[in-house]
Formats: sequence, structure tokens, C-alpha cells
Amino acid sequence: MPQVQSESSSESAVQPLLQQFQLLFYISKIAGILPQDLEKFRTKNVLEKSRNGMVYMLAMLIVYVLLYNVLIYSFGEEDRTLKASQSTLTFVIGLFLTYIGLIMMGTDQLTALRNQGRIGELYERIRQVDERLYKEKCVVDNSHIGGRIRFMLIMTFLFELSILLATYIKLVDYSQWMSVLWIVSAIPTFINTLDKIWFAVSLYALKERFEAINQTLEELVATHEKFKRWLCGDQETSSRALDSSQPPEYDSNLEYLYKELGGLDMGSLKGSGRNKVAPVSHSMNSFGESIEASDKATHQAPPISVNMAHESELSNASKVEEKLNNLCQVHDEICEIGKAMNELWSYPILSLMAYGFLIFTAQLYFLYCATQFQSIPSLFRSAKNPFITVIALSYTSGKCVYLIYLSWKTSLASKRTGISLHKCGVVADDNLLFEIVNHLSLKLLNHSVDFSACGFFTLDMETLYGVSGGITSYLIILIQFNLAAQQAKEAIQTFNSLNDTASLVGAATEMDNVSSTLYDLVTTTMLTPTG
Amino acid sequence: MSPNTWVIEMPTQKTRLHPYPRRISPYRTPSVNRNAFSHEARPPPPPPPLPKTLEHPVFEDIRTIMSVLKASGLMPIYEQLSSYKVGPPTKTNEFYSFFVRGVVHALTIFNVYSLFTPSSAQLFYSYRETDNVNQWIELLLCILTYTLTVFVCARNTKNVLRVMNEILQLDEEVRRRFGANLSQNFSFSVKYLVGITACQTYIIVLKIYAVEGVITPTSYVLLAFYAVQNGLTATYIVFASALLRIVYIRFHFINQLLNGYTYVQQQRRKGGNRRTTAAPSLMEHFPEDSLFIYRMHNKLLRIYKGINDCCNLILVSFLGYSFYTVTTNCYNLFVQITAKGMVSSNILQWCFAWLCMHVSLLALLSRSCGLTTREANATSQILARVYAKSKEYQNIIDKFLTKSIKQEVQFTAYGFFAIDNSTLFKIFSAVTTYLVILIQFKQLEDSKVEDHVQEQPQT
Amino acid sequence: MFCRRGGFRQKLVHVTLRGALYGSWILGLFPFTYDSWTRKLHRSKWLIGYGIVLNVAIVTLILANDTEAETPARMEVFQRNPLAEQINSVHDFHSLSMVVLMLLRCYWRSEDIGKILNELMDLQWCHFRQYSLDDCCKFDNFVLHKGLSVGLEVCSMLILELGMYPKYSLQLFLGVIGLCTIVLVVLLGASHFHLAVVYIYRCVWIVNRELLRFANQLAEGETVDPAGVDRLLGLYSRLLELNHRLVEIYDYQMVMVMVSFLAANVLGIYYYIIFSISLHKDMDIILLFIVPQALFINMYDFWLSIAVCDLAERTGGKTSTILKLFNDIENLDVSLERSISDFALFCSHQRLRFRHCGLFYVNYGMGFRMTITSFLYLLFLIQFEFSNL
Repeated sequence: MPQVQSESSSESAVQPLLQQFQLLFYISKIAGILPQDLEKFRTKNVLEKSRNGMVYMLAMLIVYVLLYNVLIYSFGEEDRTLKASQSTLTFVIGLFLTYIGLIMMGTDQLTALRNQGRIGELYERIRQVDERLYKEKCVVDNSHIGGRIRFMLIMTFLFELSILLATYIKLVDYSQWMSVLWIVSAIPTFINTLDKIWFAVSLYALKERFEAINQTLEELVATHEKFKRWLCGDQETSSRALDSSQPPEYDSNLEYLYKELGGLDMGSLKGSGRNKVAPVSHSMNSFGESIEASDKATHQAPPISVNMAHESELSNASKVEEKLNNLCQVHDEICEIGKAMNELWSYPILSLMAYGFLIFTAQLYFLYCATQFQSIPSLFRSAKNPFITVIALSYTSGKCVYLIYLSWKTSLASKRTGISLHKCGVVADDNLLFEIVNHLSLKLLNHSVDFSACGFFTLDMETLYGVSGGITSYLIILIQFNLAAQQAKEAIQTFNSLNDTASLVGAATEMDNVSSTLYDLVTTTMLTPTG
Repeated sequence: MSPNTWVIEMPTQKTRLHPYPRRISPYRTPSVNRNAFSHEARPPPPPPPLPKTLEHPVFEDIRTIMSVLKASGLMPIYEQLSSYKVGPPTKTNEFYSFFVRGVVHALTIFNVYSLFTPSSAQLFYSYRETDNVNQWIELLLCILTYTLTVFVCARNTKNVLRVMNEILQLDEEVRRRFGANLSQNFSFSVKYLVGITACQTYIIVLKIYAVEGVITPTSYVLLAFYAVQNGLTATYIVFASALLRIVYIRFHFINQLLNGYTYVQQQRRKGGNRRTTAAPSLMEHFPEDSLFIYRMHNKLLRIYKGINDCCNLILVSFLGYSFYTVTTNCYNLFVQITAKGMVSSNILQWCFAWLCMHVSLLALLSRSCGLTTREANATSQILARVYAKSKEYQNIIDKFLTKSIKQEVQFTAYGFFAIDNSTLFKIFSAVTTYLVILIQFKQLEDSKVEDHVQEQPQT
Repeated sequence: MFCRRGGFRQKLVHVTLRGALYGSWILGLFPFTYDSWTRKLHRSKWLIGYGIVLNVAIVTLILANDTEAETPARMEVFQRNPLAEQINSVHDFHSLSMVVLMLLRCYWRSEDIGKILNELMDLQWCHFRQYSLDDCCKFDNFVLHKGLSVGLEVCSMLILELGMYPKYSLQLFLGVIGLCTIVLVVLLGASHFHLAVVYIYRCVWIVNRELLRFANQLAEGETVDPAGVDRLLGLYSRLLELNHRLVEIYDYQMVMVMVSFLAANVLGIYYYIIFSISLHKDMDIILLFIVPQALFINMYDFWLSIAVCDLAERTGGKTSTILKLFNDIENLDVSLERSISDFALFCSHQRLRFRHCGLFYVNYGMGFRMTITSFLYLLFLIQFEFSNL
């Protein structure tokens, strides 16, 4: 990694992101998710490769797999007796679903093993970005990320424990000694969640950086507006009316962009902007502070008027070009980090999405089976209780949806930089600056950060919609199959008793079949354009 | 030039040669060469070997697969005029290709005839009516795909040669300018070739074992030709992927070249030797290099389009065939697994062999398409990373960027859909949907049978 | 190549276009009179009135002589499957509403249509006359294909109606003639849109050719007048605007026609399957020839209507590819550079695309999805039929 000379001086000012990850790191180290060196992390806050950690992690992985198989074996006895009565389809699906959790955990751990060198690099790059942002007087606050991690950890523990305990108490026969093994069933999801917290928090940090850039640009605009107003105020009152009417005009022009990009309401944004701008003394104060923090910035751009500290960087084209250039470079760097991060976690995310889709469908299906008093695979016994099912489902879906939501938000934040940049160009009303903005916005257009799972599908709200449609249609199909199987059984029974009602039942179920086929038709055709 | 095949005509090479002299700067050559490939995991290309003799064959990397295709008449047996130019085939060779194609069509007609007559009935022995129909359709689809492949190949002979010539020209230009020899290890094509052959042989052996009684010669011919057809179609797909890979390497080369000018590199340079201000020398060659890169990019896009046009229809039919095969085989597997007590290992192996072959081919195709497309679209992204102080350089950058807004290229299957990584995903979700429908049909069929069983004793 | 063979092909195209024009006039679909002095089309109230009267007469003729329901084959199918009957009645109703909508839209928006046509003619006359139009092979091909498909559709309709009936009567003939006329009305109405699209395509094609010529000239060291590029940009934007207006006028008609074609195909195959498999009919002339040919021609026509839109869209896309050729020309004039980058920006903002009702873009991708969807519908219908057995 190239070392920039001036970095040592500002190093104390920028707090590395990894400092906030301490708690998470210790927990994941113990659980065997990360192979990196513990000692190095504690002393220097860096993630480095470690052979011991690797061995420990592999050992943990093997132990988990063994334990899980023992669990399946010991709880599977009921299943084997059930197999005869169960429909084969349910059995096959159950077998597959039993192992998907394990597959997911294996993917997570093996990927972490593969990436162990690169993750450290990633955080190093983020730190460098922070430094560069700091040089541009754009301070990113990392302090609340620790709190966020703690909150996520607590939520994870809460969910895991509540599902585990509730299932154990209500549904597991705990008179036997072997029943303690049930605890193992929570391991795959727990490990997966820890791994995803790493990803989510890092992604969140990236989003913060994008937002910091946007914020800086907006502040530039706000200062310049104020500066202009102040200039106008000097001259005459008639032009002020004209000037003040100008900003809302372009605001309304940009409004649809905001709506499209952020789902943000222009009014609220404007309000927040005003809040910062309106009290002059306050905003001046904050600006002054930031100038104080970086000592060398005060030399340039002497204030135009002596009595007030009103100044605007946007009025100085050559200086602002440097700044905008740097911001664009940092933007690109963050985009690259985002891409790299997405690549590191692409397989775990793919497996998580597959897991989420399958488990969500399966849990609901088994819930349906349980309400019909049919037998279900023993590992999915939590489906017997609707309450536990709700908790488990919200846990699983929460994980998936949060990741998708965050990726979507991040890419939106990255795209919003273009708008902020154009605001600068519009406000400054300077030919030279306008050309710079034009040039840079062409560049920004080509910075792309789209999060996808191995290139198979992008992580955005559209995919979420598609997935939820898919879950519904497959659930209906499964239930339809179940009904058909049930029908066949009943038919055999009625045939045995040679009952006259057989035809009636047949007619009734046929009606049912019709409606579900139609429904099936509707959902599948809804899905075809997207899929 | 016929207006019918109205493509974008590039200015001819001759007109383009004169504007500026080629720069063969000795001090830059090695560094660029290293730069261009330093990010690749693969071993760097061999140091530019100047053509040993004139017989230095073009497209050495994919020689094996080319020879197979040439022998089967799918590729013209071109003449090599120089080490950077191929010419149309000689009369004898042309006649040979023509003859092979004629034989293929004759065999196809014979096969279709025997499919519709009862002589081939012994090949369809399965226990279910719908399965036989499925296999029958599969066979017809295979024949259709291969016939289409042969037709399209025969029609596109000239286009293929043109594309090849363009690639060679481009290579020549790159060589003359940078001394870099763009070649790569294409061992995957040979591996795939071996895999396809093994799979097909295995399938045929399985089939022969499964048939009861003495096999008539007609059936043998049918089976052998079926295997050959499958194998050659698959080979053509591998060939298309290899061509795409070739284009990918070229795109990658110019992208890496451009990458040398990005701000990341500038900073690295600065960090390396701060005392000697290296920045001006870094951007020194940017104007001419950028022109070169833009021209290469245009040419490559044209080659990319050309390849797409050549194998459009073949890809569509192959994807359809492959989709059908995967679906029916998954269905068969499902039926085998869920059927109580009737698991036949023969059918299981047969299904697995088919699935392996088609899934791996689909993966290969979508991966190469995805890679190439991504690399082609990455040029503007990399260019966006070039920060230049002077107005002139900025204009050069803007010129390209303006023209590539919202102009992403895609490798399409006849405009029906784009082929990239997501295609694989879409195909598999479609397979699931159809699988469900097929299973529903099966259940309906079963319930019908049960109803009949029920009704008979009652009445 | 066939194009070089000279006049015959051009003549054929000319005859086809003439035929379409006169046919539309006779059927009252084209309520304009042509003033050859000013080269303008004028809306004529008389022609509108004539069209309304004629078409109402035709529809009443059909309704009065509706013998369709008594076909034995159909009766058999409907008795077998009541759902088929319901779907059929829905389809009939849809067809009727399609005819009404098409005619009403045609008369109601006739002023706008007239304006568009006038402008198109204007463009042709003022700006594109100087270029040779003979090379545009795809234009000729499409026009010929379209003419062929309309002819085939009417023929297949005749064969279908006459071939299915066991005995002939005057009523039947009247009904069939009315039906064929109304089908012709619909087809001609739809082909107006397609012909306009193909004209726009030709203009865009010429613009592309000119741009390409400029690029080649520049590459050979000659100079190009920036005003030429600006003029092309102006033409291009006018063409796009015309296209936009055209699509907006024909929105509902085209959606209706497409849905109707798709539905006809799906239902045709569905009846065919019911007839041949569920009813265990022997293969006779109806099954082997009449129904498949109708299906085939239907698909051909449907695909043509998609292909023309796709062709125009792809040609529009080529413009920006050609603009990229200007990238690697050194020492470009500043004003020329500006004109070209204006053109490029324009292309990135607006494209030649066909979007109906804001619902979907018409191109091959959409055609593929439509085919897949209709296949799925077919499967569901068959499944339903299967469970009814």
C-alpha cells in the first residue's frame, strides 16, 4: 500500500473504522468466523492473516458440522418412522432444507477464510478515504457505528435465544439427555448473522461516507447562497426579491429527482436545509470550528468584507476545482471499495438469499402442514407454533431485507452526489465552474456501485418485490401439491370403504383446484416479465 | 458491399495509417506490457516472439477446436495469406466443407424419416407415454439445432472470415505499437472438448445398454449421429465462448492501458518517486494513446457485434434446446427419486450426464459473455478515473464519455434477451417453473389413472 | 443481391403501397383527400361519414348473418368444454370493441394523423429527396412482407370460414364476406401504423448513412461542415418527435391488435388440442391444413409487427455507435466537435423506441416475453382442460 507522507500528521485526527468493531471482532473470533490475528487487532487495530486463527477456525467448522450431523441423526429418528406415511415430496424437500443452513454456514466460513488477507486491506482503504475526506474538511463520524454494532448484536442474541428457548421449552422433549443437542440447531444462523453484521456495518459506513460527500457539497451551496444574499443585501432591496425567488425555482426542478432517488420528501429536506442555513450565527459558528480544526485552510480565500466572515469557496473557481476533483476521486474510491466489498461477500450473500427464500417458503408451508395435523420434519418443529414461526420468520427476513435495503440506499446515496454537484454548478453561475461541473458529472455518471449477488441479480427493492412474489406463488403451488396428495389418500380411503361421498369430495376438491390453478396462473404470469 | 448487410463501415486500414507515425518507443514497451497484465492471475504472455516463419499459424490458442470445426464443415478451411491475414478457402477445401454439409443434411433427413417410422421404436422403451414424447421432442430439437447451426455457419462463412481478419488486424496494430503479443492460454476449450466427447460416449453406451433386444443398424446410425450432432453443437458453443474470450483479452488490454493513466496510478507514481516529478511524463502520451484506445475500442465493438451476429440464431436455438433438456432431465430425476421402489441407476446416470454437460456449457457461455460485456462497458468507467489538469485532456476524456452515456453494449440472443451471468439465473428459475407445471401434469395423470381404477370396480 | 435487380422490386413495392392506400380509401379508413398542388392531405368530413356508414353496415351484416355458432365442430368443442365457450365469447367481444375503437380513434384523431402525415411528406420532400432511396432493402422487404401478410390473412380467414362449414348458403357467404372485410379493415388500420414506422425508419437510416459518410470523410482527412451535422440533428429530432406523436395516437389500437393476435393464437392452439386429443378426432383436412395455416399466418403477421418496431429501434441505436466513430479523429474542428457531442447527448436522452400506453416497449425482447407468456397461458388452459377430463 502506498503511504502518503502527510498521513502521519493527520492520523491522530482520523479514527480508524475498525476501532468500532472491537466487540464484534472478539465475538466472531471466539465463534470462529474470522481467522485474523487477535493480538495484532488488539494492539494495532488491523486485520492480518494468521495461521493459528485459520487452524482454529477450521477446527470449529468441523466441530459444528459434526455436531449438526449428530443433531440431525438423533432427532431424525422420528422422521424415519414417519417417512412411510409422509409424501415423498415433503421428505425430499425436508432433507434438502435440513442441510441448507449448514451449507450457508460453510459458505460463510470458507469465504472468510479465503478473504482473510483482503478484508484488512479493505478497511485500510476506508481509512485512507477518511483521511482524504478529512483533508477536504469533511469529517466522518465513526462513533455511533459501535453503538449500531452493539444494537445489532443484542437483537441477534434476543432473536436467537427467544427462538431457541421457546422451541426447547414448548416443543422439545427435554426429559432426554440428548435434547441438549438442540442448542446446536441455532449455530448456523447465529454464525451467519455475525458474518452479515460485518458486511452490513461496513456497508453502512460506506453509505455514511457518500452522504458526507453529499453533505459537503450541499454545504458549499448553502454557504454560497448565503454569500450571494449577503452581497445582494449590500446593493439594493429590489434585487433581493429577484434573487430569493431563484432558488425555489430550481428546487422544484430537482424535486422529481429527489423523489426518484431517495424517496425523500423535498419539503423535509428543504426544511432541514433551512434549519441549518437560517440562523446565521449558528452556521457561521460551525463553519468557523471546522476552519479551526484544519489549520492551513485559513490562509487562502481572504474574506471579501472585513466586518463579516462571509466567504464562499464557490466564488473561487480554481480552488474549488481542486476540491471538487478530490471529492470525485474519493467518490470513485468509495465506489471501488463498495465493489470490492460486494465481491468479497458475493457468495455468502447469494447463499443467504437462497436460504432466506427457501426457509421462508418452507416455514410457511410447514406451518400450513402443522395446522392440517400432518407430520413435518423434526428440525422444523418450530413451525408447529405460530408465535415462534413469526419470530423466526421476522428474524430471517429481517436479515435479508436489511441487507437489500442497505445496498439499495447506498447506491442511491452514491447517485445523489451528481445532483449535489449540479447544485454547485447552478448556484455558482460561473462559466469556468460550469465546465468543471460538466466534466465531473460525466465522470460521476460512470461511477457505478450496484450490489449484486454474483451477478445473478441486483440487490434492490425490485428484487425484493420479485422474491416476495416468488415466495407466494411457490407456497401456493406447494399447498396445491399437498392438497392433491391429501386428496389421493382420501380417495384411497374412500375407495376402501366404498363410500358414496367420494364423488362429492372429488367435485369439491376439483373446485378448489380450479381456483388455485387460476391463482397460479396469475402469479406466474406476473412473475414472467421479471424472471 | 450490399446494403442488405448494412453494418457500420470502419474507415479502411490504409486510410488510417498515415495520420501519425507509429511510435515504437523502446523505453515504454516493457512497462506497458507489464502493466497490462500485472493484474491477471494467469502467467504473463511470452515475450513478443516475432513470427518465426510465415507459417506461424494464426489463432494458435484455439487450434484444436478450430480443427474439429473445420473437419465437420462448420468452419471454412481458410488459407493463411500472411501471419496477420487469412484468405478464403481454396476450391478443394470449399468443396470438402460443402460435401460434409451435404452428408450431414442427408443424414438428418434419413434420421427424421426413421424417427417417424416404427424402426426407431425400440429406442423409446420407457415406461411412460409422456417420457417417450419428451425424448422424441428432445431428439427433434437436437436435430433442428444442429441443422440450423450448419445452415447458419454455411451462410456466415464470409462474416466469420471477416471477423477473424479484423481480430488479426487489430493484433497486428497492437503489436506494431506496443510489441505486446496478445495470446492466452485457452486450455479450457480442450478440456471442454474432452469433456463433451466423454459425456456423449458415456450417454450412448448407457443408451445401448438400456435397450432390450438386438439393436438394428438403423438405430445404431441414429444414435451415433445423434451423439455427433450433440457433440458438434456443444463444440460450436465452446468455440463461440473462446472467440468471446479472445475479444475479452483485447478489451482487457486496452482497459489496462487506460488504467495506467488513472489517478490511482498517478498517486502511486507520486508516492514512489516524489522527488522527480513524474506527473507530466505520465500524461505525456495520453492524447495519442487515447486516440489509439478509442479506435481499438470501436474496432473491438465492431468485432463483438460481428461475433454476435454470426452466432445469434445458433445461440437462441441452443439455449432453447438446452433449456428443454435440462427441464426434462430434472423432471426425470425427480420422477425417479420420488417413484417408490423403481429407481433405475441407468436413467439416473443418463440424467446426470446430460445435466452436467448442459449446465457446464450454459455456465461457460454465460460467463464468457458476461466477462466480455463487462469489460467492454468498463472502458468508460476507467476513463472516468483519469483526472487531467489541462483543458485539452479533459476534452479528450469528455469526448468519449459523452458518447457512451447510456450506451451499454450487450450480447444478445437475437435481441430476445441479453446473455450474461443473470441469464443462468433466469434459465434456472424458468426451469423450476416448468418443472412444477410438469409435476402437476404428472399428478393429474396419476389421479386420472387412479380414477379409472376406482371406476372400474364400481361400475 | 436481389436489390440490384432493379426496377421490378421497386415497382412491386410501389404497387403494394398504392394498394394499401386505395384499399384504405375504399374501406373508409383513410378520411383524407390529397391536394397535389400544395402536396398536402386534407381531412374530408364526407369520407368520414362514408366510412362510418360503410362500417356500421358491415358490422350489421355480420351480426345479421351470424352462422358461426351453428358449426358442428365448434358446438362439439363447446359442449365438451364450457370454458372454451366463455373464452370465445370474450374474444368475440374483444374483437368487436377493437374494430370500433380502431375506427373511432382513426376518425377522432384524424386531424392529428393528417398533420403527422403531412409533416412526414414534407420531410421526405424537402430533406430526403436528394438522397437515393433505392438502397434501403429492408424498407422494401418490410413493405412487401406486410402486403403479403395482409393478403394471406384475408385468404386464410376465407379458407378457415368456408372450410369448416359442411354446407354452403347465401347467409353464410354474406357473413363470411362481411367478416373478411372487417378483418381487412383492422389489418389495414394496423398497417398504417407500421408503414409510418417503416418510413421513419428509412429516414433514420439515411441520417445514419450521412453520419457515416461524414466519419469516413473526416478519417480520410477531408473537412466536414458542422452545419451538416446540425442539420442532421435537427432532422433526427423532428423524426423522433413525429415518432412520439405517432405512437401516442396509435397506442390503444396497437395494444388491442397485439392482444387480439396473441389471444387468437393461444385459443387456436387450445381448440386444436381439445379437438384433436380430447375428442379423439381423426386427422382430416381441417386438422392437418386449415387450422395450422391460420395459426402460422397469424404468427407471421404478429412477428412482422414486432420486427418493424425492433428494426427501427436498432437503427436508432446504431446512430450512437456511429457517433463513437468520431472519437478517434484528431484535430477535430471545435464547432464540429460541439455539434457531434450535442448529437451524442441528444441520443442518450431520447431514443427511437416504441412504448405503448407507457406499459411496454415493443422490441424483440418484448416479443419473446409475450411468446413465453402466451405459452404459459396455453399450458394453464391445457391443464385446466386436463383436469376437466
